[in-house]
Amino acid sequence: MTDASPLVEVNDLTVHFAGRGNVLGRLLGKGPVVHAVNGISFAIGRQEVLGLVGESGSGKTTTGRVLARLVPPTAGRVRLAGEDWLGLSGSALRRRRRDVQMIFQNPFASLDPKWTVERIVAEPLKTHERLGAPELRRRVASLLEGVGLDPRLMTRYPHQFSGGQRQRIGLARAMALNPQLLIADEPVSALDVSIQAQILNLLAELKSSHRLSMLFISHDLAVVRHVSDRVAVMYLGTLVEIAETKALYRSPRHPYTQALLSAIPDPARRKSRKPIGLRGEIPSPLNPPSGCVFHPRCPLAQAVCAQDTPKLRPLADGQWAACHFA
Amino acid sequence: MTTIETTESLDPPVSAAQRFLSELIRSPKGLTGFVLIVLVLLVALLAPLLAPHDPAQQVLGARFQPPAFAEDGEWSRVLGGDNLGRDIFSRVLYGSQTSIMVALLVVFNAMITGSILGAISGYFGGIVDAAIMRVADFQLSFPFILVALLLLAIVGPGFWTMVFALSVALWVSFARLVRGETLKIRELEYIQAAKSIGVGHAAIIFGHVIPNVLPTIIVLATLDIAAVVLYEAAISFLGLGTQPPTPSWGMMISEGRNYLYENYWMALGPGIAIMTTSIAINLFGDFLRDTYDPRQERL
Amino acid sequence: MSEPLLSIENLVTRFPTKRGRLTAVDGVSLTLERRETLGLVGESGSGKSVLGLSVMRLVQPPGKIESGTIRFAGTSLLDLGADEMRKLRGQRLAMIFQDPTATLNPVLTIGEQIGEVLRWHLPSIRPAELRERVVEMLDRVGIPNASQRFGDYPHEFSGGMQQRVIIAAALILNPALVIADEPTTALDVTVQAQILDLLRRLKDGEPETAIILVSHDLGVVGEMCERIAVMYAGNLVEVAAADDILDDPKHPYTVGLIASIPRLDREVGALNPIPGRLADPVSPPPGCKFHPRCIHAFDRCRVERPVLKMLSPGRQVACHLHD
Repeated sequence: MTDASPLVEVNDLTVHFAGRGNVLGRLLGKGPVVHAVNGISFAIGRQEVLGLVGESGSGKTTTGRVLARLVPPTAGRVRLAGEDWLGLSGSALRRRRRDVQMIFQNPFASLDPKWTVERIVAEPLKTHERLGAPELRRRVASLLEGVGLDPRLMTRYPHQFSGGQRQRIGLARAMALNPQLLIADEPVSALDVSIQAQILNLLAELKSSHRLSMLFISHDLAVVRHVSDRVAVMYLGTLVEIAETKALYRSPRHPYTQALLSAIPDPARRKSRKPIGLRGEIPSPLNPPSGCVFHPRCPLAQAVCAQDTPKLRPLADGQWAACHFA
Repeated sequence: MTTIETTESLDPPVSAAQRFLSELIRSPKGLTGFVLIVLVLLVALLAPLLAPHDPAQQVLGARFQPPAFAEDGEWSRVLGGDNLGRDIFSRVLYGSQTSIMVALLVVFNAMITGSILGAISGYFGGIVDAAIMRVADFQLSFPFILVALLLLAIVGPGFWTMVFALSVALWVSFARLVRGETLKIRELEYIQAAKSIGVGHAAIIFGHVIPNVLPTIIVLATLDIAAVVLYEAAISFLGLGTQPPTPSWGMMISEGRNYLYENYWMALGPGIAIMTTSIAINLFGDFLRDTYDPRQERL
Repeated sequence: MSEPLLSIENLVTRFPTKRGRLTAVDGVSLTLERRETLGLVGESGSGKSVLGLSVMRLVQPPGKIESGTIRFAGTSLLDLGADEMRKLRGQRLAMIFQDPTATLNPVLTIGEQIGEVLRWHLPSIRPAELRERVVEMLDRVGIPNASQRFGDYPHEFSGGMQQRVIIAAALILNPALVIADEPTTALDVTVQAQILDLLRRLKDGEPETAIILVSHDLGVVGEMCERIAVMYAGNLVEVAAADDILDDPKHPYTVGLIASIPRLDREVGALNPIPGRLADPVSPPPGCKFHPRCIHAFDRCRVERPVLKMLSPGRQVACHLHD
């Protein structure tokens, strides 16, 4: 019987970092603060891929890292299969880590250059299970096959592989313990287009064969569309819209999403694209605007937008947007 | 099923040893340094076989005997005799054992201690880092040799105390270097990946951080060996290190100091030995740095 | 019939590497008319960036242009001395690079940096006039409060603004040719749209300038360019009008490239990636470099390298299928 409750529930997640001010300011607690993530809430269902989209300063990468327990949040709750994920520590945390794995953007920095591929992929297995050497090797071989790599390559070193192949190795490592949640942080951004497509297809396969849930973080809306069941859009630390993929791309509700979609140069739309020009640039997370963070650039902005922060509220068809005028 | 990638387009794996040898052959300075080092090591190992005389044997008739190439010299004592009639050549050969042993011991100690402390410092940051680095800073405010001498003054002269004192003085250079490299590595994704897998701190430090810093450590170690040979000579020269009758190049120079004008050869033998060893190690260390400096990683 | 602005013939640029000689540009012939905007598209190792650098004669040693000719406005660029080339750069030929933070000197104000271009080519220019021209240019590239920002440092500008500054420096002397190498890749999507918009406006307002837009992004190139040239492993595989390339590609690589791009318009199905890996520039496959990955490959493809041939007026393809 399938479990209908969501795998991951994030509530009011907030992450503030201390900025680089002068020593005195920081001592007095008045140093600059980077408002990376500001009270976001969302859920990821079982076997669901949630795309998390945003530009720089959106906080999407930080969100991913908090979920991977690599960065401590300032406030908020995260439940993983009903359990308090953020509250775990020590060996309890260690044990549960096998359920949440991550793949990274940079194929060159995500694998230890001094380790053989075999050792890299075996690392999670060695950490969490007691297996003999032959069994380990068998598992590594099957994992490599599962990502489309010849197992005979396991004796080689990362620098002998291309970017796309390294991402596959990273995936094999992430899948080693059969996680429930895979956090993919810009996994294809550093790859060539023709290789990107191979990896995206691979992710889609793994999702169905392993009943995997995924948080797919990317700045590329077109890529996200191909992988995700639902998409969440972030801007300057705030979640501004979340909806099922089809709905979001067909009828985006939040003005930022609309502008973002219209800004993408897609060869197929090149004649029909009407870009919604946004004024100015993304403000710094050190000094986010008051009220709705998007208001200084928003074509629909009114006085209320500078004063009242709009909450993420449900609109028709399961779409949610944080805008006074959506 | 997505495409299975085959091995064809990959380079054949080149072992580390093969790479080292091929680079070595191509580098004149590396090769020179390496050959000389091997020579020195062989001498140190085979000293008992190579030395024509007992280094401690005093022969009255051979006092101040000039070296073979000067007048009145004999080939039985190639480098001459010292003020007590001991054969200088034999003493130089045996002295290599002392110098090499001290250098290897000291650098080994300092390397292990310094690297571990540096890695811990860089990895954990915060209070741990601050504490270790302040100790290091304090020590660094004194000249190296002074630290060694201070320690020797406290624990008294002798071979092992000298090794101890030099080790303590040297750990700092490793610590700072490794700390710097650790800070860089710490943020790399493969470390984050290990953390997200649940790998423990110790496993990360010893499995991931240190192996990646190792080439840098080895280069520093090699260069420090040369430095320690010189320091040992200096300390023994001052009479605080190796005690007689154990031959030590530094001590031999010290003894020869008084006779530099008429009987220069007492200092000549050990002097050349120190110089050769130092140059050899520096050349080789330079070659290592050129080959293995991570900043010059081949694509 | 007037001579094309830029005419490249059989250009070969190589780099010596530990593994052997890397041929980045392997016999490329291309022409560019005045005022034309050409898109140069390819993935890693295609040689598109090196081609741009070769035209500017900015290839980093030990890489070098080994053979071929480059004619620009009637002059053979490869025959010029270093000084003569320097006179051309910035004035008649300009280049815009990918990463604005790396291109701008952090310790000089942007006024000084753009001014440097003017001073170098017009040594007798008076400070007042220099300032006036720089401010005017900053204004044209859309930097608000241009005259105040003249004395600001690069770090006081955002990424998009920095790129505008660089565009200003490139265009200030009205060069006949601008080579823009991935000018928007390092920028956010919304900022990218602004910069592309700017480039379009400048091109329309500055009808004299021809642009070579180097990019891996077919979308960007499709919107900006009249013609597109597709490169793979150092060779041109297809050159045609933008619409033709995007709507009716002929070369299997171009077809595959377009099929592997995730689209915003169509229904989402599986992507059709091109199997295999990019050709190794040090030891590429024999015959057609693309053949190991090509579903249409036949015997001739494995032995004979196809040459760029005209398929119909304005269309060139290098493929045995279309021979």
